[in-house]
Amino acid sequence: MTKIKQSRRSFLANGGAVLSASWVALNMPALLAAGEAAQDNRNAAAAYKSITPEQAVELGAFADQIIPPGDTPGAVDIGVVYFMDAAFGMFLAGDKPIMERGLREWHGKAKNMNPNAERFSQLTPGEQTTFLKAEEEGSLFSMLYRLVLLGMFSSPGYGGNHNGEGWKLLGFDKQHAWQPPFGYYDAQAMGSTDYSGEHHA
Amino acid sequence: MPESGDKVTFSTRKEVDFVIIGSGASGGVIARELSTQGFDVVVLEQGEYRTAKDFNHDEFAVLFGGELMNHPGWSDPQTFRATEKETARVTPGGLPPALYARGVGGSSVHFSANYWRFHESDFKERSMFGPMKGTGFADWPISYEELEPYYTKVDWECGVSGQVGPFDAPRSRPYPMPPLPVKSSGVLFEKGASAIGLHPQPAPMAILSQPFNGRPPCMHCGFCMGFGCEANAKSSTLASMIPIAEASGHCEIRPLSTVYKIDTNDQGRVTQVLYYDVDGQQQAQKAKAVVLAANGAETPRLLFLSASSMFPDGLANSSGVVGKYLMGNGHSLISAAFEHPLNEFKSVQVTRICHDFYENDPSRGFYGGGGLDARPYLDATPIFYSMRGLPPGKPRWGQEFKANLAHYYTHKMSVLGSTTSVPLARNNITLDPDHKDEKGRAAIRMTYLDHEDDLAMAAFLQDKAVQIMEAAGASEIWRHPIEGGTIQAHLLGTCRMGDDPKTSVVDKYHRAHDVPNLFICDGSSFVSSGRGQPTMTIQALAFRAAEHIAGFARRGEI
Repeated sequence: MTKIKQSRRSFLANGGAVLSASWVALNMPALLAAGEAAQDNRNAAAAYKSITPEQAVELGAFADQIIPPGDTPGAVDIGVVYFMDAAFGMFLAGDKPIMERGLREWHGKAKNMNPNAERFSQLTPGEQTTFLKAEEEGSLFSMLYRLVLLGMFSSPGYGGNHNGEGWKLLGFDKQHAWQPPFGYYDAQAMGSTDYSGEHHA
Repeated sequence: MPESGDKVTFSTRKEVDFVIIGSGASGGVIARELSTQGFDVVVLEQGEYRTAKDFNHDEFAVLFGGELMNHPGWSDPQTFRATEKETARVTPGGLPPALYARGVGGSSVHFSANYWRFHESDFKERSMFGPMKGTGFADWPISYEELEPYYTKVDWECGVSGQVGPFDAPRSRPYPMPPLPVKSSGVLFEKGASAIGLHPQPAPMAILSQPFNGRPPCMHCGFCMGFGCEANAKSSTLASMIPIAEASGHCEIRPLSTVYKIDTNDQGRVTQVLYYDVDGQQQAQKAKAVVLAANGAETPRLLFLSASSMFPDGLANSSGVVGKYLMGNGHSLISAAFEHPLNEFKSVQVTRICHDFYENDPSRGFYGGGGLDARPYLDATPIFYSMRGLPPGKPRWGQEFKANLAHYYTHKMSVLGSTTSVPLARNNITLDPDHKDEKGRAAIRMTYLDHEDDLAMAAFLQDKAVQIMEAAGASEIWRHPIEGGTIQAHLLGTCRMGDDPKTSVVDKYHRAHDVPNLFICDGSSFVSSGRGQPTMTIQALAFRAAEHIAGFARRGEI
């Protein structure tokens, strides 16, 4: 079968809510392999495969600004950095230089904000928030933001969403089948209207 | 359901009775109807042959990766422009403008399965309300009464659950099974709509509420819209029709077969269908007749690609209307939050609808009609929800974002309004002059700009939806912008049916006016758009077309 050429640029170029309809599927076998490897790594607390420990710290600081820890786990606890590691190792490998360049730019900007900080992660949490507010429209923010949400809420097989913690945060129960009542209001209404008769005319 | 024994295969050199191009909502029905009557049928399907065990709940792969929609072998881009003054472009990184599933069963595999019948008026609004200047507003050459027996076939042979509502057109037989259990969104919608004097009703769905024809009922997993059903409870043609066609011993489903031309001889008759096989090799299947059922975008594309010296403007296009009058159905959406959990991620998309505004009412000041339904829409699945599910103005990141994500996921619902689309020649499918797929087939180019009446109707329904949710006691309601459509999942009207060969592509039996052994039956046959749920009517047309096509074949009239 003819192999399809893949535009990796589309991931960055896309500003809308929907990711490219093709980029994931075209790389799906590689992505699954990467996800499984990431999951193994995460379980073993192993080293990252495609990003450096320093980059992992920066990406983790970013991810925890998006979904901070608190009463419930934050993005880093939920394994988002492992998802990113898998992504930059495989289907986003072509964009890794863009991530690296973007982080270097952020180092410089962080230093301008706080001379004691060598990089984004060394800013205080409050400074990080101010920093990211100024970066919200930027392409690095946009790319990493999507990766955080994907890492939070995609299937654990892709390396993030450790033990389904992302889903638990939402109240999404990954059960394969349900029976009514499904929610509060249909439970309240149960039995009030009978549509189960023999004749549906 | 019959067991599939040894599946029949046909040599490409054997002239089979029929080649059917497309195995979806229409093609699957026609394959079953013709093959069970003893005709030898080859179905060419560009996608893979997946079955229930191949489907999953992987949102990343299915909704973001386009697992069920991408061409399986190579890149097949599409382009979009609003008007012909613009240069059409491939949407960067987004969904294609013509949205459909590839694979055996077509889009009936991944649809939400809302199965509204048309009303009697849908077939004759031009006669009822007069002409609309500058449009293709026209009556159908058939009536509801003529189509009713075939709607009933869809109910009983594919499997539709429901309960007759107060505005429904007359029916000859009850639904085969009761509606699916109501969800919290349905309860709230029913409460609000009733409170303001409307008449909500259970949603008719092509999803089983009881065991039927050897298939199990819905297990309420929540992964309907955009996903394939792992239980075979969704009445796709993959679940309901294809197994019976194959068991007939007269039907070969040939997946991974991408048609690039319908060949004609110098008598203007179809002789064979040319396609790329699984290895990308060119093949040709000989046939006595061809049924084109590739959807409202691929069907006109293939007719244009099949141009020849005898058919210079595209096959079956002496009228010049192939590709024109594309209708996609307009939409409006609101969302609402409530005090207690709804858990809309469970079960099917829709359990209650409202058809009080179905009919055109000239006193509104614009043409149109539509329906409302209660559903999670794109919020049933976690990734999509996290990217677009919160009310406008809320933070996109940080502690408050995290807290809001947790709150709204279980406490939110939406109300979707679906409307008419006025048929306009300016809205169409053509071949893109600049973009091709890797095999050199010109890309689908969609040109689409909603008629102002379509947008007015969408806004009208949005106001009603807000009133319904207010009356239901919503704690928050927010509107989503009403915008012209740039992505169409309903691909209608591009080879319209009619009695006059100068203004239509197929006759009332779906035979191409210009080509005696070519039949075209899918969403492209529509003359008007209905109110936003077309698949029930596509399948009723398919059952009816198959009956006539079989009759023509038996009488030697093809």
